[in-house]
Amino acid sequence: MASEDNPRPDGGTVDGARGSTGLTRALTGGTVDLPGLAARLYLGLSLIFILAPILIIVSISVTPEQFLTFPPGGVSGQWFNEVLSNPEWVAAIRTSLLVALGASVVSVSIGLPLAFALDRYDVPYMGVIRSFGVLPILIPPVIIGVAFTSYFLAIGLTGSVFTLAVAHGVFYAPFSLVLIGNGLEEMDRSVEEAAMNLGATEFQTLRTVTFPIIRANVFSGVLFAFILSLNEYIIAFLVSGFTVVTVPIKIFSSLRYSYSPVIAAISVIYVVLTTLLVAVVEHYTGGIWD
Amino acid sequence: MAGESESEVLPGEESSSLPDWMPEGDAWVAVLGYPVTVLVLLFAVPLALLVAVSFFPKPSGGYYSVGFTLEHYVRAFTTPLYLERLAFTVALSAGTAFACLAVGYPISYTLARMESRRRRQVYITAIVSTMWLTYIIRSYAIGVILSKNGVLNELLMTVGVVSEPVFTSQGLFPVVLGMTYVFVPFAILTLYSSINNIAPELEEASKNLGANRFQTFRRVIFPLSKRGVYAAWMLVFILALGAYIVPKILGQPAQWTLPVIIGDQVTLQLNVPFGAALALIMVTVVMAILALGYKFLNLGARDLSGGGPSGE
Repeated sequence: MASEDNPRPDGGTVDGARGSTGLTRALTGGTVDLPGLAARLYLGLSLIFILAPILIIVSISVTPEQFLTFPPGGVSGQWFNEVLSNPEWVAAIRTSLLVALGASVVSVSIGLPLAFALDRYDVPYMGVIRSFGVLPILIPPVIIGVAFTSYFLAIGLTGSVFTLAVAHGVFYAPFSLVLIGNGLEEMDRSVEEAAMNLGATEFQTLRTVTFPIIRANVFSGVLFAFILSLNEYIIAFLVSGFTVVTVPIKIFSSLRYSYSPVIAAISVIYVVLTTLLVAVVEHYTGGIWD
Repeated sequence: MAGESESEVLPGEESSSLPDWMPEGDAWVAVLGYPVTVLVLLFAVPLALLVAVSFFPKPSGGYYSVGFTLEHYVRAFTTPLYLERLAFTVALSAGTAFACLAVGYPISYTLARMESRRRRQVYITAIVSTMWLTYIIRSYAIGVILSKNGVLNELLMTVGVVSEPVFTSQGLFPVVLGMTYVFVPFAILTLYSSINNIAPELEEASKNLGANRFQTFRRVIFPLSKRGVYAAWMLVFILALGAYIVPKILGQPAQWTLPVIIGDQVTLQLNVPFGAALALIMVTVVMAILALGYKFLNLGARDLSGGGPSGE
């Protein structure tokens, strides 16, 4: 998509300039730009709706009291301390990271060859394989969870970090497929030809030319599976059969007892981690959503 | 893409667009062998098993025994509770999708018309991060805000609008609010890519011709973004049908959706066959809605992946 900014002939901005003239006029007693003001108010409320919940979680996580009070009585790191010194939370964090790591390896190991084959070869049933790419977003995860649970029961596997990683890895493989597929589709194939003409073997060309070009996409696919696996609850819960406890599973069961600030603290850790990883993907790919 | 690939390049012949290591004959079999095997064994087989299990009897002691019975489907279709839950799930999802459009549209518009690319990227990163943050944390956030001693009640009481808490952290309102909150980023990104494609000059022209902001929106921008609006509605609707966590955390049994019932059948009642039957009914509903969207609105799978990382 074109990501260029659209310079305006008058040098102003479509929204900003008009909105502020409206406001200035309103303040100076000129004609009131009511639709403009209403639009800004509506936008402001929508933004508050998106941001407020996270900000409130952050303020609860640093509250020195048992509950959040307004105005907050100060700032304290005690809830973060409590999370990081509690062996159960630490174990859950470690389990979550292990599952996410396994899931990203599994998903990229499926997505990479699949994307490569779809891009380069005349594969039969190409359309069928490609529509697999939207599955994780369109099939209710609870159904995938039930399917994996019955399957693992049938072949005699109980919940473990391994089964969780496999379930997540397969479910999130389409993200790798789509991202790497986009990279292969956009790359300039003549550079491969040049490498071959200069005497590189097939494998050398793949390793030294093709892979570096699509590296950002492969990397984003890996990070994506990692982020999604880290945050996934229902498949993990169903497959785990109460034996493996990831962070979302632990948060969910803690919520039954109370809305403790400890949950806010672990949530903030998760918010920071997820945001950092998403920012890395955005940076690396130059904005895949843009 | 597909069109560029060629499966046969004669050995020794100079190919104008393809290097000569391009596969000859069945080379794709070697590359595809591993991923296809894994997907068949770990994706196709589990889904096929799900279908099979939904017809298996449920013995009183175990998970399921091999056999054939229609009892789970009969139970699902003759028990008012399950039909009622299905109807509720569909209604809640439709409502959520409309709410997400209402909240998401102004944000998407602002993003699409933002001058600074850097600022826009910061906003988009923030929205995408919230999008993938586990629904549990986000439901918890909504629960905290609405709880009896929560921020919102305290605020309203301090200001003096009300004298007693008016919001509770569980019920229909928290569920609707929570669903809107967790799914709105998907709507925003889908709408954003659609609005971003509208040339700003069209708006300028409309304004120069004397239309005010509202008229420009109603007569120019909105009609041009209609496809994005349909796609965003559909995407949120489908995602909301599968929602499990929000209704479970923010709802009382009256607000439980079909996925919650399915999860409970498997984990609490240990009735995997009945859970599988309900799951298949659910998949059928989702597929039917996707087919309708494809037929009447011409929305393909690609339109609906706007919330995903497939970009443009």
